[in-house]
Parts: sequence; C-alpha cells; structure tokens
Amino acid sequence: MIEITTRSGQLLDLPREERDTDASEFQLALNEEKSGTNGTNGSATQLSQGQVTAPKSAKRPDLEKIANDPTVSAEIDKAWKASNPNGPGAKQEKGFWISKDDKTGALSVTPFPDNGTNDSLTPGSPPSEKGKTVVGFFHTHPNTDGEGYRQGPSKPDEDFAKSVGVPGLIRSHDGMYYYGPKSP
Amino acid sequence: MKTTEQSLISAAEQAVNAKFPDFKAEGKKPVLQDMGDYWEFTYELPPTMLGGAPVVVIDKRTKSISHIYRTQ
Repeated sequence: MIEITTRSGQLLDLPREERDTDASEFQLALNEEKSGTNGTNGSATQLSQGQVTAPKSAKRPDLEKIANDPTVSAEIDKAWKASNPNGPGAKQEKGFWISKDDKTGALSVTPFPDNGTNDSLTPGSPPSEKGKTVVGFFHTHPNTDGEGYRQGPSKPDEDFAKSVGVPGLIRSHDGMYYYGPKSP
Repeated sequence: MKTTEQSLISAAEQAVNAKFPDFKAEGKKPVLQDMGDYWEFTYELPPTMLGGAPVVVIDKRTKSISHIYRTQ
C-alpha cells in the first residue's frame, strides 16, 4: 500500500501494483480520485481537472477542447466508470456521438446503443437532429496492457472514423487518444 | 492459398488460442498481410464496428512470432 495526500489534505490508500509505477497511469488515477469517478469523493465538477491526453496520442487541440468541454468531459467520466475499467467483473465498451448546436455552439451527446463487448462496439448511424452538427464520437477502451491490449485506436476504429467523416476520441488507461478526420 | 500462407495462418491461430483462450473467432475473418519484413495476422471486423482483435506479428527472417497483442 502507498499513502498519498491530495491537495485538499485527504489521505488516500492506493494499492501498489506494477502499473502504478507508470507516471501517466498514476496521474490518471489521481485525476479520477479528484473527479470523483471512483465514488470516494462527491464533488466531481468542482474538483475535475479535465481529460488527460495519452502520451502516445496524436496532438489534436481541436479534440482536446471538445473532450474538456464540461458537458462532454462529465459524460466521458460517466462512460469510463460504466465500462468497469478496473473490475472486478465484466468490462464493456461504452460510447456516444458528440453534436454541436449550430446557433449556440453548445455541445451535447447521444449515447451509442448498449451493445458493447469488452473490446468492441457497434455505434449505428450518426444522429440527424435539425440545428445540430455531429462533430465527433467517443468510446472507451477499458482493457489493460496487462491483459495484452494496446490502448490506442485500432484499425477498425480508424476506418470507422474515416467512413463517418468525423474524428474519434477514446478514453483509455493511458488517458485520452484522438484520431481521424478534422472536426467539422 | 499458398502453402506458406496456410502454415502461417495456422501457426498464428494456434498462438492466439494459446495466448488469448477467451477470444472467440466466430464471425471474424482471418487476414494475413505481407508487411515487407514481417507478416501481420489479425481478424477483420465488420466496417460498422469499433473494436479490435488479436494481432500476431511474424518476423520473416527468423520465421518466429515477434509480437502478439490485442487491439480494442
């Protein structure tokens, strides 16, 4: 076990495992604690520090901005938690479309059907809502390196983004990955 | 299909079964691609899907598996 004190002075007891030695994973774990996604802290919005970009991700400021929009960021945290990334029990990929209001610029999300397995998902067609433009899609990668999984986008992920013509965002154990075409 | 390709696919499938016994190949098409210095074996997903499959990288020079991992 390792003792860590947050800025607010709260003492954390986190199990030390092999992956805890990885800096980005450790930072992500701290952010999860601060954003309340592990259920130990009730003030998610107040303490959230936003989505951390994975070191190996493409640098996409346009998509980082979308991921850190308060509405989208909260939905990312919710989907990540619902994926059960740290077990125990079955993991399930979750995701949603991201749309922008043509007048106000406000972002909103439309959940994918709940048909994910631990390593795949079928999003269906992008939503078509008058006055809104789909600007991207998001899904989770809940499996770990230790389970033999790469964290970034797969070839089917890349191909899907090209076919729908909007970029993809992924939340993984390494942080956020960004890929695909430029956002409309 | 050439005998070499058949042998490579068979070896790669055995490696996947051994490394990832929970993987179910039903409905997924095995694909072997010549990548120059190596062969890459994986399974194709329908184009409407996000997700991944096991990937086996076979070194042409040593004729051995150099990497085996999953995508998601």
